[in-house]
Amino acid sequence: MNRWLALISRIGTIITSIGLAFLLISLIPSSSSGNSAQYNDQVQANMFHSPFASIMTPQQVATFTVTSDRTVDVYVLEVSNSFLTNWIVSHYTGKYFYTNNVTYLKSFLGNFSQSIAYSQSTTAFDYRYTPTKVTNATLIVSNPSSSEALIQIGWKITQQVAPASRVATLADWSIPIGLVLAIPWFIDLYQRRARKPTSGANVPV
Amino acid sequence: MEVFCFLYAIGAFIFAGFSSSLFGFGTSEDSVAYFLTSSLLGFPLFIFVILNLKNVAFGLGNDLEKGIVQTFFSYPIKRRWILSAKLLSAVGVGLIPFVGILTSGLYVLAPDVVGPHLGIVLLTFATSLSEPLLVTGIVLLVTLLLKRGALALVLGIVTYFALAILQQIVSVIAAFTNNVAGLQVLSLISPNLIASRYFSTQSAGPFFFGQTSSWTPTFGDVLAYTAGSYAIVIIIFLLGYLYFSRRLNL
Repeated sequence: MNRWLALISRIGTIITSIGLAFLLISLIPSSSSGNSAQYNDQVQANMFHSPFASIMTPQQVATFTVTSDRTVDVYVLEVSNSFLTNWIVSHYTGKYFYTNNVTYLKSFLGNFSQSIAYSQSTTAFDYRYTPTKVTNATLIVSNPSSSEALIQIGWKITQQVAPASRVATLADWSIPIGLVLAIPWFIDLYQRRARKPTSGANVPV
Repeated sequence: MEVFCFLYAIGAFIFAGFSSSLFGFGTSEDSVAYFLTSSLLGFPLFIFVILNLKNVAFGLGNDLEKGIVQTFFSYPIKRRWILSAKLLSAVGVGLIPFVGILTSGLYVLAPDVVGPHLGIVLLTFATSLSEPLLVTGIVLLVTLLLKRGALALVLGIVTYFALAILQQIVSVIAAFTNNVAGLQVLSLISPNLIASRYFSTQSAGPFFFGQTSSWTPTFGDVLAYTAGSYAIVIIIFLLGYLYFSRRLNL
């Protein structure tokens, strides 16, 4: 076999082996023994509520579900709850009695728009959050309407070895690419087997 | 090779861990990148060391014993190129997938940790690889001197484990007696010691080490010790080259 073809084939088999490792990793299920909570709550008109705040790593997945009897704004922020509260207190002391007024939240989000990992206006929120770095994660449920919202909140933290979807995507690409690159090696292997003598003095009986 | 690449790829995810105990102390992002990279180096680094020592001791040792190197000497090729080719296949081919696959795996796992702090990730690899490369250099020298691989391989493995035990002993002495001289000397062979110390103090403050807080290295110290350790590695390999080129009689 040509030297360059041999090199390409070898690279192909290596890429395939890495792809298989990724595939194996993506098949490892996430741990179901993480923290979780589920409860009913109410959010007053023009107020926001923070039902979840924690430090998270890329090896953790947070699943958030929020159902409400009216449309609410749900945000997943990459800041701590205390950072949000401290910012509001330092900027709006004395204007409103409550620090969890929607106006304050909107002002904060205007200044820290990069901290929004995900947001949605809905009556049924269901989102799986996987951070890409070690970060604070805070779930905010904001009720911009003029009447109280009854909400049902659920969150669950699960541990994982690696972000399964990202690793599976890599496996999906690397295995076929590796196999295609390794085709010359497969052909060479087949030809060598085909050339192998099937009769004669050297063939073991 | 394929098996090792498979193991490196698995190891990048299985062994990676975010040391949660450091979060509460206002850990810097550099420290997170350092500790994340360090967390996965244990087992893959051990595989790398064994692979390296086997390739150098048995690969070169067997070629010396069987007279293959003697045949190479009859070719119109300079001796140093013969040794370079041997070392490239023994060390280089193992080193590239080791760093490449583990860094890529880390990037897939935590892109916002590795991407902006790639320099720290590579520095962590550099500080961790210096000691195995030094042991590889010693094994190369012993293989050339003895002209056989088995004893050099045993010596290499013993040296590697002895250095690991010595690091623990010196660290304990430093913690108990506040005498960091041994730690500083050993950091020239294993710069991972000083790097670990620097990034730990970055995340936990100078009191993290209790009595030994008298030595709080700077980032410049980490770079200087790393450069120093690689200077020692280069000297060992140069001695090997000199012996192979001028003194080796077969």
